[in-house]
Amino acid sequence: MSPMSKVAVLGQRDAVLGFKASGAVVFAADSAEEARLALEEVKKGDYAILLITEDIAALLKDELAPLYDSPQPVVTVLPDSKTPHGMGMELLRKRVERAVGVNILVKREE
Amino acid sequence: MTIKVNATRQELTRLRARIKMASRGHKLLKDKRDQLMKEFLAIVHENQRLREELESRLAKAYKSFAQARAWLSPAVLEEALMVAGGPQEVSVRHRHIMNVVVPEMELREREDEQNTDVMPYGLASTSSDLDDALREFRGILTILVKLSEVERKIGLLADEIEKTRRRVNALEYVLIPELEAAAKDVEMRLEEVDRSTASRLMKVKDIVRAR
Repeated sequence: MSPMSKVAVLGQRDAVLGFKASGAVVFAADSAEEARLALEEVKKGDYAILLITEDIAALLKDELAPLYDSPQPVVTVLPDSKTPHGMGMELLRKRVERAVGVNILVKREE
Repeated sequence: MTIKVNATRQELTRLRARIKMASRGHKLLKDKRDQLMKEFLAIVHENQRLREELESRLAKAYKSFAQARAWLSPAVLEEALMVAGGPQEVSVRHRHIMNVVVPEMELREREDEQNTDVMPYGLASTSSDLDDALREFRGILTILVKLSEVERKIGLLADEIEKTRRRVNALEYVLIPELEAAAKDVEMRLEEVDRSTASRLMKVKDIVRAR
């Protein structure tokens, strides 16, 4: 089974414009309302991956929550141009902690 | 909650069989959990590596893109971006890790774009910063696809590990001790019955002899 799907990028205009040339489908959103509409669009379309910048992901927290466990699209949080680090790692840390019982990621940074 | 059964030999045999079964299941699940954990840790480490790479490269790409934007008029930039790319496809396949279905994604290169060094827009109207930025973004997309795959794997494996761990614990700390307690109880009750039968027989013998 190998269906073909596309990659969607959702984020603020400045952050995602560069992806336009990379072959991803870009949704630019500068407000929570626009982001919400774009997310609906992505959910309807045939997208395997949704890349979303941290700031927008923070705005759409509730809408995104059910998507983290759905088969498609796979939601990946992307650091944006202003604030690197943070949310993507945080999400991962939570899942690891739930599975293993302890946070193994902290230990590695020592 | 304790298991209540009749104090008969048949029930005792049945209980012992259940204990055996439960221990076997327990051992199997424990092995599964350990194996899942091994896979999981490898994937988590890969994820960390990818995230770090992504973050440094993305910062670089944003920088050159910002520079390109500063140099070019919005119209020219828009035009360059329009021709620079069409939608690229991702193929999704599925693989099993310990009975967990995980996706494997791969970015499909378009045939007409084997040579990624040639930018399909006017060289005269754009700067080299734009070339660098777009090339960088294209590389980043490959990393992102990989990262998405890995993160999804982590999520799925994490769920499975949690489930398996619960089962292992339920067997180890609840079901098996309860079954053992029940078996012991039945055993003791049977012994009690034996003893009372024996003493009754002795008493009867005494009475018979006294006559």
